[in-house]
Amino acid sequence: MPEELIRAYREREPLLKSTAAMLQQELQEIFQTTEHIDRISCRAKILKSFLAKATDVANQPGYEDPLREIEDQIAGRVIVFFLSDIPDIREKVRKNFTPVEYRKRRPAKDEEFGYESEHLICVMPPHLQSDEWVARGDMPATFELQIRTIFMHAYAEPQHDMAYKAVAELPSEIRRELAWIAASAWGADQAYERFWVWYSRKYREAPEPNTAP
Amino acid sequence: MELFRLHAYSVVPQRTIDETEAPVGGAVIVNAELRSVMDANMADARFDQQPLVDFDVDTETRTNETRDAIMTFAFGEPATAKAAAIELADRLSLAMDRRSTPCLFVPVVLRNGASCRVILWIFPREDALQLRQSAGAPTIEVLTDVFSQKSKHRKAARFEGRNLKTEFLQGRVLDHQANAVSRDFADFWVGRFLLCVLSMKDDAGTRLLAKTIRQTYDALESSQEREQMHSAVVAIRHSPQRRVSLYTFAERYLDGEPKAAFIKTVKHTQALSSPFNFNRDVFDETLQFRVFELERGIFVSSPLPEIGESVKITGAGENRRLTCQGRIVDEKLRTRHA
Repeated sequence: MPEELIRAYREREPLLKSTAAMLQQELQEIFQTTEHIDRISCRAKILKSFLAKATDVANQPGYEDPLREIEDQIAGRVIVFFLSDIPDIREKVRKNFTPVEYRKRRPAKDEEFGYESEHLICVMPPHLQSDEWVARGDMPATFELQIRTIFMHAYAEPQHDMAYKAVAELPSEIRRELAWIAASAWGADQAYERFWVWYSRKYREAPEPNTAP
Repeated sequence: MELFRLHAYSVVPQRTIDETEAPVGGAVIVNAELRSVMDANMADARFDQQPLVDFDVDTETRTNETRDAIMTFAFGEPATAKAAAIELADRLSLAMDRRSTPCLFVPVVLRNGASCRVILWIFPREDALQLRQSAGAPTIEVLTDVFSQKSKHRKAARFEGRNLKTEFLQGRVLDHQANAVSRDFADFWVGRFLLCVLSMKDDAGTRLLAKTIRQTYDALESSQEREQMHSAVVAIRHSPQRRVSLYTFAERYLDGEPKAAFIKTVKHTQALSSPFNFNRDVFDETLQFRVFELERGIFVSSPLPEIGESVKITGAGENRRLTCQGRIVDEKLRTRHA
């Protein structure tokens, strides 16, 4: 199966890449006038990651047809400045795509710190389905979109391919170090949010109407 | 594909009725004649050219009552499939009010290995007359259990895939009433019964329309052709018909070279044929064009970057005033604005 899967995935990679580029362009247009966007990026999943996910024994039940079932073959990410920007982004996503799944990823226990992000799975819209995409009939029906702050990203990204996938093998001290980074990032987000609330109240909100006689 | 399962239920509208009746029907034995009729209906429906819809699923659980029933009907054992078909018939009955006629609801499953294609049909009831030649004088009998295959009020939906959470998320619908002025009536099939939404979201479709207009406008060379594009922009902004696709826009408002250039600009077939509800704010924002209507039937249209420059707006609220200055490079005489 892996050889067949490798061949099939290599064959579709150019189409995944061109569709990811279209999605990126689409997201940039959607958020053209939205404030506090740090960056928007989209990518097609690389073969190595696809294979790792397709054959991961931790997935129970396993994939019957990973070429259709793995939903982040195309994925986008919107990184924003402040926590309060996330709901606005999510709302705009809902106005432009049909979401089928929404997950607010965060540690299970309140006293834990770790990966935080919002993940949406959306149906691939008609205008991003090229004629080749439609004709093949075996492309994924969905794509993934992540929404997070700069600090959530700062914690997640550097260690994504290292610690996230080998968490059981990490020494205790290293795990505590990573938790400390996550806690610091969480704290920074809270502090930045307080700053933003203060700033917008002072400088951005409309003045009270003058009701003096 | 093999015709694997076909049920039929007589359904009456019961949306506003307190005590409802259960639909009557069940599994139907498919003979060669029925198979041939269903094949002809499928061919007539031209599903590949019909609008795409997405199931509006609960994003926490990825469930949708209609989708779940459709998948159970497709992949379930006969007893559970029958329960799912009855559930669908019940849902249909409760989605229809008295503006709809009673109908024959026919859910069909075609199978190819692990994949299934489900087609849901409704054929409206028609009163028909039947001439009977008996031993005495001929009689005419009024038949009230006859259902029309060719009526404009027939509807259909097609979904397909395997029994996986990533499948059966998008499908195509045949619905000639989808553009009806009454949204409540128009949305009965797609919205209330199927629990679907148009795959092309309103903002996305409107933005794509505006971008395509801009690209076409830039590609056109003659001022007359460009003027046709401009008139089309003004017309769609004022049209009460909000449901549109890029193709219907071209059909309604364009002709000749501008129409051909517009259609050529659209890269994908799916993008051309997918309907959406026009959103004027998104359109103006994307097109970077604003049209002002002044007193005494005067219209001023301006590219957004010119507002504040050669087009000045002063005042606030109802007292806003517009002044505009520039060299006239062309002019046209018309009987009306657009």
